[in-house]
Amino acid sequence: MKLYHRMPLLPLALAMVLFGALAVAALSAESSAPAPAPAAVQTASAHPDAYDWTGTAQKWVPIISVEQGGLSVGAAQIAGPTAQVEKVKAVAQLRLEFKSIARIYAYIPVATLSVTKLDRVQGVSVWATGDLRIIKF
Amino acid sequence: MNARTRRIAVVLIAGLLCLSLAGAASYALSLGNILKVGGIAFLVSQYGGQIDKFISSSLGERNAAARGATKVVPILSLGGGGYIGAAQVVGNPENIRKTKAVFQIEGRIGSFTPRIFIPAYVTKATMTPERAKGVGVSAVIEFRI
Repeated sequence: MKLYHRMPLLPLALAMVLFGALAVAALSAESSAPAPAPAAVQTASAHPDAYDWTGTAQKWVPIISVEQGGLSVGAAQIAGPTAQVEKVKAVAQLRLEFKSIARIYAYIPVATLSVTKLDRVQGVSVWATGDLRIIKF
Repeated sequence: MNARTRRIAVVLIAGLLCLSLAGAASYALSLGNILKVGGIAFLVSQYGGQIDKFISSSLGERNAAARGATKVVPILSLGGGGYIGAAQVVGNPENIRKTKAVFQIEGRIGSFTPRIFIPAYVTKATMTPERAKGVGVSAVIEFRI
């Protein structure tokens, strides 16, 4: 009986093992090849915005999420270069969900709380979020 | 063999048949999940550059695209039903290059939804996964497992 209850965890556990194996395989392939930086990475040095990453700052800011189901508010932990993190006033989350099959979301750290214009602060990323739905559409 | 023994034998065989069918069904489901996870993770690692450009151009229309060091890696979400997909990571260029995957831990307490993103890489010496420091998530596209 106990085994039956544990059965739904089996696919998830196997999926995790496979995911880990793929990550290790990707790393092994990279370590064996003497190639320099991968082409998929757009480096900051190639871009005019080169930030100082020696001291990474963290901060909690409000998060406002607009989605099909409603409007949510909460808090998000952001991190990045100190000068950039100081500029961030909030995080805007855009979220789309397709009948619980797929979901797309984007986190945009913004310097102004304008609804009409998204003023993204570059070099800042989101580490953690927590939101509470306040309005249902 | 009397009638009672025959009836018990029929019930036992039927029970064993049901158990074997249930086992086969669960095996098929787990195999499907494994293929889906493996397939999507493989596609994301192969076409990460194109997905990165697609995300940047989509957000660029609203002047919200992340510039500088960005990369698309596979993401595995656990806790909110199980999702697999692609995540665009932003942050320290040196650690962005190392990042191989993102793990998302999601919870649900009523209407409150906490999420934690763990960008990870594997150290070459010990072959153990480690958190990529100074790296976070900018956008996510994922499918239910």
